[in-house]
Amino acid sequence: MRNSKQFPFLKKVNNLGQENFVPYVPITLRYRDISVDSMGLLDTGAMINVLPYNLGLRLGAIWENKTVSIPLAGNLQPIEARGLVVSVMIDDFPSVRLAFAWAESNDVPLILGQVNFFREFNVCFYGSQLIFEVCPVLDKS
Amino acid sequence: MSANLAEQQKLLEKIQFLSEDKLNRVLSFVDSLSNLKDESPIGTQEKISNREVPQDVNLDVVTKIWQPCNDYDAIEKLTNLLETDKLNSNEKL
Repeated sequence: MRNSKQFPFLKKVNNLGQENFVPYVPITLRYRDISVDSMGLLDTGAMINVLPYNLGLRLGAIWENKTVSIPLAGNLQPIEARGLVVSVMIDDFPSVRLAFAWAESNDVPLILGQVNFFREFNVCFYGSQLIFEVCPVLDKS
Repeated sequence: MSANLAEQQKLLEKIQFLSEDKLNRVLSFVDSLSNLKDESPIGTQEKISNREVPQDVNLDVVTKIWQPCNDYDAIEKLTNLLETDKLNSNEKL
């Protein structure tokens, strides 16, 4: 992919003590005047982006002011979530606006899913080499 | 009755006629999945099967309970939110 950036899979240990390598990408989130650096989990199986509660607070978002309720599925189904649009920057790519389901829970990772992360970025996984490449979708028409 | 059909019927019976005790064990296991971190909330049977499944709990049943709703509503709402955000940005320009 042209203009792509390469990132390594990161080693994570699950609750059973098993090691896994997962594609976390370093990102900078910006909401109004506040920026926060974080790591986003690239999840092609997730239909939507999910933002943990404490990260939204660190960005200065006010839960009570967010009125669009977003239903979550799977094991997050009981958790309330509200829509939040945030600017996101990866490396030196131009920033993009991503819509998140801001979950009222800290027990979730920052998830980058089909809507709308994978509409804004092309990603190529090289699992055998434990690396992945990301590049912005420049022409979305 | 073919073997495949018999298997399906057996599975349906397991899903529809779970005893209260067994249903509680399945639900308790499903509930324990919510403590998982660093994994997608969008579950698959593969992800569940990596967990330590309680004895006598059918993974097909767990999967059906764990993914009871679709994501279309969430997708539509986030897409609308992005459209509104785009319109507001254009107005400011």
